[in-house]
Amino acid sequence: MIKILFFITFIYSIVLASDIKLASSIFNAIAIDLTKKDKPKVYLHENIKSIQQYPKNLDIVKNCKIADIVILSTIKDIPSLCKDKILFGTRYTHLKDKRVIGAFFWQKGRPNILFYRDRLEKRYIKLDASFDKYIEK
Amino acid sequence: MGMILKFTKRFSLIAILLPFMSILSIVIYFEYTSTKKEVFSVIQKHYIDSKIELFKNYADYITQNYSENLKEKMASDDEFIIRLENELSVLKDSEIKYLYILYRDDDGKFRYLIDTTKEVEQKAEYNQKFDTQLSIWDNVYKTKIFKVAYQKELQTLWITIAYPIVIDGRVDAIIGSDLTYEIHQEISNTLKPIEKVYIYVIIFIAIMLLIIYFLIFIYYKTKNKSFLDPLTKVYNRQYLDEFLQTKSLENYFLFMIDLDFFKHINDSYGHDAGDEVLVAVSHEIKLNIRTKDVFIRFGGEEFLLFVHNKNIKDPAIVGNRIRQAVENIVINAHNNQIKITLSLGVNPFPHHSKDIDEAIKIADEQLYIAKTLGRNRVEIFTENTSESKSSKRISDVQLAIDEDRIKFAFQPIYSIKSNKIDKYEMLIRMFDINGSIVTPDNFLPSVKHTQVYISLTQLLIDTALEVLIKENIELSINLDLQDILNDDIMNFLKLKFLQNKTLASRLTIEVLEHEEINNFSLMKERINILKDMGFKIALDDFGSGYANFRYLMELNLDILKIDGTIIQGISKDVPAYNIVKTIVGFAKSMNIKTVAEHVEIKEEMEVLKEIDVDYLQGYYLGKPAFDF
Repeated sequence: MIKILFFITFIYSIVLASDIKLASSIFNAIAIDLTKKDKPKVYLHENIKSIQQYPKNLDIVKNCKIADIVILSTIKDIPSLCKDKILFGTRYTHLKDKRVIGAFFWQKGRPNILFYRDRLEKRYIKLDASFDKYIEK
Repeated sequence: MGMILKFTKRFSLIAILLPFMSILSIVIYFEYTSTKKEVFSVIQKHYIDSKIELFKNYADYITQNYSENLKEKMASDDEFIIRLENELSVLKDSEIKYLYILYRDDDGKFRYLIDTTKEVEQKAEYNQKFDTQLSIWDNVYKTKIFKVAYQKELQTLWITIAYPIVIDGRVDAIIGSDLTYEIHQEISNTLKPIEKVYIYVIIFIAIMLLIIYFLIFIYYKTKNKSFLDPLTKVYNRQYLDEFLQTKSLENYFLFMIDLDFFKHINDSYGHDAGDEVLVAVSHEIKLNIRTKDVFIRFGGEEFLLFVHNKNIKDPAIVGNRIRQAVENIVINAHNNQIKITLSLGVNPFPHHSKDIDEAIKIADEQLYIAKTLGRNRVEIFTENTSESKSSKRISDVQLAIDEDRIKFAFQPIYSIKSNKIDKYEMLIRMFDINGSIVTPDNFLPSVKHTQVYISLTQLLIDTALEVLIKENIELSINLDLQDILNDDIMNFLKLKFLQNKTLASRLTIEVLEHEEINNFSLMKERINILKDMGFKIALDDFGSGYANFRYLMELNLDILKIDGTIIQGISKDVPAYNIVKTIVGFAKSMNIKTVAEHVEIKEEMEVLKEIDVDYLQGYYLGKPAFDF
């Protein structure tokens, strides 16, 4: 019986994990390209389940000072130490804040990536050509 | 037998049922999956068609009412956006999760014109980029025909419909609609009752199959156990019925195999060593037969072997191969090096017999012949013997009894002391249908161990009784040791003589043994019962066969009949003379009277008188005759 319960839980976690894993892969690709580092230091504000669960190449740091990039779950109360860092959002509304250079978010069940060219240029960031279709003027 | 038959019939039924049910369950499974798919696709088509009809009407409405470029109009008219959003919202129902209008910009990116979504997080802004991996949007622009895509990557969406709004012959925008995955669930739920019926049927069949497999497993487990002899691991007697139900005797030679002097091994080395000998011999025989031959331990040291007759012309070759193989082995049993031989009786035509008992009987007769001819040999029933001494013999003997063709001859026994004929030995004879006399060695072996044999013995006893009543003489009759162990014969003797001890006192029972006595205490007990009834007991043919001095000591005998083979030539043969003299001397010391058989010449009679034998019997003194 315990084995059956374990099996059901395992299958359930695999099904649920697929979206989370996909999100983590996208965050990885974006963070690496934005920072141009193979293992960028990432500060999470506050909790981002997909990265916490599957960090892959992201080095999650507790101190924003040493972070290469800050990924936001909210734009409220961003620590002051993060103010000069690359801010990347997880909702479309985060993009209302002009400090946020781009966002990856789920809308209508679909993953969406969006960058603003002027915000990237302001930070002298040039993304790989594969991101071109996600960059808005 | 009955139970095995029923079991076999039941399993024949299962053998038919099993593949049928397996195929049925597979067919049902495929039928179910295909039906489910079909029903699902019908319902799905219905959903899609109804939505397409709706979007078509709305697209036509827009085309008719808003002939200018929608994007440009929206860019300049907020109220128009609101109006259009309100109109579009009307089309939304519980099946449509998201409903929106997109356009393709100059860079080929799709962007929202209108989004009817209410949730803030999910609602897109005017002109917001729409990321998609699907090609349907571009295809709609290209073909101007609606497209449907099944969302496999996304978990919450089921189907996306893209319907073109065509203005002035070109696609101006696309109505996009995502049907919720809940519809998929809903359809699945609708199909659940059908699915349940199929699942119940499949579960039922699966349970049935499991039960059948379990029964088959139990059957074969039990069958294997119950049909194997635990000692030798060859088939036991119970297997014979099973074998006969499935195989035709026409394809087999029937061998009856017996270990020679096996009792001596048990007596000399103990029963454990005897068991080891049986195991070793069985193993050796198995090495010399094929898998299609059937080897059965028939009882004790007797085995039945059914040798498949395909490619075998002469069963003697097989028989001798087995015989020699066993003869050549040295069995190490309980630190004793034991050698043993086999006697084999073969019935090459078991299918000619009316039943298996008769077929075995014929093989047993041959085995008996092999034993009497010196053992360690193979005797084969031939076509000639099949005509003269065949299985018909049992029915022939029965017919002879029925037609009163069984007669008894009386041979005089001469008393030296009284110098006259004192008694007669009753000798059984059968007249065949042509009136020729058949001697007992030509018909008794074939009916031995059958009811016919019992009938013959009863006839002998009845006739003896009649003669004793009519004539004031003494008689002796011949009974086999096995007859004395037979309850039917003992009861018959009691029935006839128990109330007539005087008549019994004039009757001598001559005991003849063809086989060793295995149960001495029972034998002694039976002989004592007979003596208590008044009979005299004689041991026949002493000096041949199995009879030995132990019999004289153990059994409470009255008379010893010295075998004729020793008596013949006694007048010239000094060793024979010495043997007979010793036997007579020993018998006298035991207070046992002696009878010399086969006295054929005067010289023999004189010598026997000199030795002090009590009685004489033989052609010189009188041949058997049917009257006195």
